[in-house]
Amino acid sequence: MSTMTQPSTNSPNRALRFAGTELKLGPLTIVNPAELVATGIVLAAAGVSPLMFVGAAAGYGSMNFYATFALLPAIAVVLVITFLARHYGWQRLYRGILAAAIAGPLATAGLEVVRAIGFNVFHAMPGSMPMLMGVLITNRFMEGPNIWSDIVGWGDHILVNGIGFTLVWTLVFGRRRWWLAIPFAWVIATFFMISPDMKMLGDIGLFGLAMGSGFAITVYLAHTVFGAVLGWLTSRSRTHTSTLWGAHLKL
Amino acid sequence: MHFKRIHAFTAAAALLGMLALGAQSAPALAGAPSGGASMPSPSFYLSTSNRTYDATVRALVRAVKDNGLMVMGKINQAAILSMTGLRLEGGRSFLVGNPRSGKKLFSMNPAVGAVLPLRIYVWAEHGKAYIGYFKPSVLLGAINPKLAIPGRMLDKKFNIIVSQAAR
Repeated sequence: MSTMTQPSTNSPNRALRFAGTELKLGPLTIVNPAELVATGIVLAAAGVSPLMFVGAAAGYGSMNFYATFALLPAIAVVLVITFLARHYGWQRLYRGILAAAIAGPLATAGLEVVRAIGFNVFHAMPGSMPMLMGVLITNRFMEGPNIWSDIVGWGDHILVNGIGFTLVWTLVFGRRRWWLAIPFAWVIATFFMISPDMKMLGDIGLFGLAMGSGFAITVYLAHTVFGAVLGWLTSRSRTHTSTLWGAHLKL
Repeated sequence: MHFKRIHAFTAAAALLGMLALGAQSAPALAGAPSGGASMPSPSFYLSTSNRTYDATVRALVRAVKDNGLMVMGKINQAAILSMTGLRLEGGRSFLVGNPRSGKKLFSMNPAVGAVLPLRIYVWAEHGKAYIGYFKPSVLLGAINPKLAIPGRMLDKKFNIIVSQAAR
């Protein structure tokens, strides 16, 4: 990035120095800081959808409000950064986003198969999460779901949440062995089951234990499938093998 | 309607609970829905409609308007509960009122907000449609016996509305 380059100084005491595409902060060197900042923004945007559900469940604002004023701008930001990444040749970021765009929805579809079985066959879930998200985002809880709210809810679940969590995997950890994505998915499942989201589902307690063990089993199994599909697809993608810190930080 | 803190599936389950309560309180009528014959209650009015469920819903909305009231809100309980996996043939609540009479009643006693706007419930069971509501005089009288007087006027109005809708 020529725009980041400044004339180097010979002073060894200078704490902050630019050299080519590197930014020196004392003993630490940040490689391609512009890409790193863009990656951070994408990761922050990816966190909007899961966090808005947590925020609404905790009583801070409505899903409709968050969707309008946080989620839509976040989606726009990711799209703009994808364009910038391609334009400026930020390969690690660009390939990570592309891999997430493909692997995220497919992995979430795998998760949904297990969740649907748990919900419809074993009655282990209190309700349909995507439909619930749809009526909350479209602000029509009292009227119940319709086609539009279902499209929004399923879209948020499969596209936004699916791609969002996959972005964390590809951009933070890079291309790893496929099975390593499974413990990553278990971490997501665990955070979900100890989050205020449980209140939104009917105050079913930590790990949904008020519904018996079926809820936690379904959630962990569904996320195991999510992790397996996500890991398998991204391990075969052109995502960079470096981790975020390995790619951008040097001591 | 905005919930500051929504426990969505709890709300759905609560609506289901209300539905069960309504069915239990129904008086014994010919062709009454399941559970209706066991616990008749004079405060709950139930009518079997001669129309289909959808036609009853349309007729009720029209009858409410024709009798000087308005539908201030709707709750589609059947649709809400479909998110929990429960399939109901139909179940909709209509919050019914009139700003002018509401103003009078709220001026008399602000606690009337606990029962106003009044609620009429239409549901379907075994292919038949039913309309049910708790008598306004009973609900308002429970807040203050003096309110039972305007409540009785509303009883008459509700009776006409439901007869027109179920006809």
